[in-house]
Amino acid sequence: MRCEEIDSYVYPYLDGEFDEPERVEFEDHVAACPACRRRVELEQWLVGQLRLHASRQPAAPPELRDRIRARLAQADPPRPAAGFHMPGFLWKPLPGILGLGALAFFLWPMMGSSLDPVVEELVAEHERTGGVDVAGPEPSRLHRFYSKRLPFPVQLPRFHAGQTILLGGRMAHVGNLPTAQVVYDVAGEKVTLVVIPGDAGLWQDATPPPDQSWVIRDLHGHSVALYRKSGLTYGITSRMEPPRLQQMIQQAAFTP
Amino acid sequence: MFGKRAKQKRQAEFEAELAPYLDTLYGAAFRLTRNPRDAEDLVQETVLRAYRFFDQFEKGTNFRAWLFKIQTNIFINGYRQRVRDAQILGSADVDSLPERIPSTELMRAWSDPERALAFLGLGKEVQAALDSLPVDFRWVVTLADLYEFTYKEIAEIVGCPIGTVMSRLFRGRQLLQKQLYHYARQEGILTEPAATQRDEGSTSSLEDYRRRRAVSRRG
Repeated sequence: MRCEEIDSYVYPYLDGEFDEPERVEFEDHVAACPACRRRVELEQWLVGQLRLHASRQPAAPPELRDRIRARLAQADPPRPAAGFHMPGFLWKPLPGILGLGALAFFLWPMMGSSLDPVVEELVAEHERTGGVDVAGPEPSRLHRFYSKRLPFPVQLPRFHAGQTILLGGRMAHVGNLPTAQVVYDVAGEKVTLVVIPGDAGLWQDATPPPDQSWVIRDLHGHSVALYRKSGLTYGITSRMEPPRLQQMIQQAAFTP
Repeated sequence: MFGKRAKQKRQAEFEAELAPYLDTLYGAAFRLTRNPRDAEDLVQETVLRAYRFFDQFEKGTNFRAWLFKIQTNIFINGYRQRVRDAQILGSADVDSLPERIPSTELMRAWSDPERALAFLGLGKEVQAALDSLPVDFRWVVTLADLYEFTYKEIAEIVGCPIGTVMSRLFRGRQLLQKQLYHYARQEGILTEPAATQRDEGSTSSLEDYRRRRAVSRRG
């Protein structure tokens, strides 16, 4: 290892990110090089100072604890997860499912936060309770309902028959835009489809995904699949795991 | 669907899981928001959301990282809505910062432990220097140094690639040192001798040697 490398890798070394051979190589150099040793000791000392001084944080105030307890008592209990589940933040794309089928899918685990303002809205909308404005299960009824109220066509996916019930649809608002929200029951799991017009307003605070490909994001225990085309954004939200949601959309071959 | 007793039981389970981390969450929220009022709001929202999704959390996995991820998400979104400035997480213009902060004189100044210790002894400046960092850097440095998350965990929490975590950590720490050095100069605790700027390379070892000797004789 050369001195410049020590310079670049002093942090991974101190943060314990090096594996054994890397660590040995690093320490061999440092043992033989006083300048690098000084650099490493200095960085170590500064992190120590930071930890010593900045970690002295105030404890959560008792009023906050009380308030949280009171709010929890009022809150709805956590909803049981359906089917198999993995913790959302440990979720990784399953290689077997990725690339299956004819639809292009982008999994968005890393850059996800750039989508989040929109995803958050969809999750909130998905969780909203209340009845539908028009009942299923005939898609034609929903088509008729929306054609009178919205200036754009609402296309409905045909999810796996036998497992899926089209419960109905209602008018909703996402980002202050009038939208269609269609509710399905897929094997006991609520699935909502939202169609939102007015691209620019919606994506004002977020980076939109590429046009005409599905993007899946999981957030707070929800999976949200997004698709953009001709200024319309389609969002499918569910509490099922991302791979299952993806599979479902692929099986329905749903491309608006 | 839920009986009252079942609900109370679930709430008690959640509170038991949460209890060891509430102070941690509050401290971290304080680092993000830099004021007690916003920190309280952020923690409250984080806890309520974590409770809502508690059943999606798998027992035995990293509850603390999960809480931090929720808190970071809420902060990003809330902050974005409230203050539309360029300092939001995930969007800092990393490239606008100098590739490397020149650190030769910095290192030399800090390598005098006595003067540096006298300066840092109260810790006030350390806190202030950390708080002065743009939030992207402050948060990654905080997660690594104060909460000792691994790079991989930080990447999950912040929602960015590990490479980005590393570059933010690197630049964050360099900025922190630069800020501390700046404070020390302001306070007149460190005065930069004119000679040291030109004084690179071979002579530095002799200088170090003399300084070390001087320190050890005094101690």
